[in-house]
Amino acid sequence: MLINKDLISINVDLKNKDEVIAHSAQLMFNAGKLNDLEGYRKAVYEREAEISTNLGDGIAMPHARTSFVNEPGLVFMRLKEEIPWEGGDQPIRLVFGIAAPETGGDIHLKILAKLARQLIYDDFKQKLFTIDNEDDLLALIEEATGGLE
Amino acid sequence: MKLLAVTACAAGVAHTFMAAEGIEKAAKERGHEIKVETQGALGIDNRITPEEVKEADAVILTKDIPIRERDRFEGKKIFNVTSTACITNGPKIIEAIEQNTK
Repeated sequence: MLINKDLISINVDLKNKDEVIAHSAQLMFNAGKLNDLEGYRKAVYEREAEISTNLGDGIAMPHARTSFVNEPGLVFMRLKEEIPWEGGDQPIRLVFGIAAPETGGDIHLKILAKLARQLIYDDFKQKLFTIDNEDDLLALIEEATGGLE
Repeated sequence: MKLLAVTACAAGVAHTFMAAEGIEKAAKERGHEIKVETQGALGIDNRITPEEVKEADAVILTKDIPIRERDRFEGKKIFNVTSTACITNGPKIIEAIEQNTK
């Protein structure tokens, strides 16, 4: 499974981008998605340094494709409070973390593309910002990334 | 109207697809036909055919980075916009096209 309840973290108290990336990596690692926590974390920073994944509207998508990943993983976090995130003029409150293995094609890009398309819909965004039940959030995100395993 | 659009952005990931969805949604809401080609990290997707170019009333191209194979659209009415505008201001773009193709 790409995402499960353990990979969803809402109202989490993280103060900056470093804490967000570390928390996302830790959730991935705990779920068995990674074979090297530190290696994945560094790869996310390298990708972030190329072009920020701050998408505007309070959403960031830190991700990496690296051999430190065992299988594709998706993390969703909603922060207790907004934090600054360079590369965009708006602070971040929602985070989609993506881990993709080196082999296995363009799965992470397809996940990103599908999610990105959904993110223009105010209704979808609104739900991401407001739903407090993890089961409902999981169902919403699974539907949005449907068909991708 | 029959519209075509091609979206692309620097990283080729999020904005390319958000812009595609944004402009498609806006065009359909105003009753137009539209086909959107994405030029992203996954390559060229939903490629526009020469027949579709021939029949199109207008072409929308994002200007964040150069569009590949742009010469396909020579002689057509072209509207250059940012991917951000497609995401946040799709209906305005479509309205402007309606005004300018009368």
